[in-house]
Amino acid sequence: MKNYNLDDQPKITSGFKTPDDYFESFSEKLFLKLNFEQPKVISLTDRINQNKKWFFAVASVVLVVVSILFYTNEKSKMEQKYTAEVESYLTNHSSFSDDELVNLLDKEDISKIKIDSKLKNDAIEELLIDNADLEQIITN
Amino acid sequence: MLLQDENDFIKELLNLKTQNVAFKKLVFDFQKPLYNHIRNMVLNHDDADDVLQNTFVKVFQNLKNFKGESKLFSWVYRIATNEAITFINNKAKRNGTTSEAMQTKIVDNLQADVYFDGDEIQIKLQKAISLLPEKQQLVFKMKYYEETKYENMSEILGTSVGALKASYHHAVKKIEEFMKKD
Repeated sequence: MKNYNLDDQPKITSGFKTPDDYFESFSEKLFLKLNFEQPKVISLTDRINQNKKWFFAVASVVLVVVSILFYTNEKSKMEQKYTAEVESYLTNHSSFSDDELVNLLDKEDISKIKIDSKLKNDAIEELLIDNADLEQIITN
Repeated sequence: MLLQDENDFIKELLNLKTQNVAFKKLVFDFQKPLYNHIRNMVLNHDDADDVLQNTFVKVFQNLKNFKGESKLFSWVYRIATNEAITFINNKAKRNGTTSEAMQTKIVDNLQADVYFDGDEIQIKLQKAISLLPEKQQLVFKMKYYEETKYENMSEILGTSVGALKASYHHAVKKIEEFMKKD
């Protein structure tokens, strides 16, 4: 039986090893656990969970406002489109006479009509003489 | 660390304004040797990771109770040693076995551990150690693997230097007997 002296042998190490970068990640993990680091960024999901009531209240208001804006915008677009179509139709296809068109106008419409004040009095007079019907419409 | 430096460092650890910075320094200084100490006891990396974390959390939570009666080094090591022993006992209890039987089983399966790359002689030494009584195992590992001075070991384990030397001597004899067997 040969002698075995531990001190005469080359040093035997434990053979244990750690994962790469273990100590860097260990200290990071530890300081987070002890709340040493800046509070981590709270994800949207966490925020929603924390303030569920407020989140849904605000979301509902935003939804209603957006819906109203969308509806108003669409309505306005539809009206513009409709007006343009009517104008286009009346211009190109209508068999309405000027008299018939004028009859369709009410007082408010007439007041909105821009009168070109640059027309000279002579020209107006001449126009009225040539168009007896028009004079009758205006005086009515 | 010189005594005066240690006293200043302890003051920083106890002052709430400087505590976090000082504690980080403590972690960076101690994490590697403390990991090795714990790993030598619990043998498995994941278990060592758990025990190391628990140790530092406990050290941080008990800073206010540290009276400076013992050295910071031995206080921290004492906490780590107690945490590791408690961990081993609880794990054995959960598995319905004794801590000795559990440790022997872990050593028998060391080759399968991805975080162990020891050769035949290293495995043989681990097996020889696992056959020792618990206290002799601890003393041998701290002296042989970690090269801890008897004086420091005495402070950590609360055992006299003479008793530790005797314990190490007995351990070495048993290990040499085991190692010379083919």
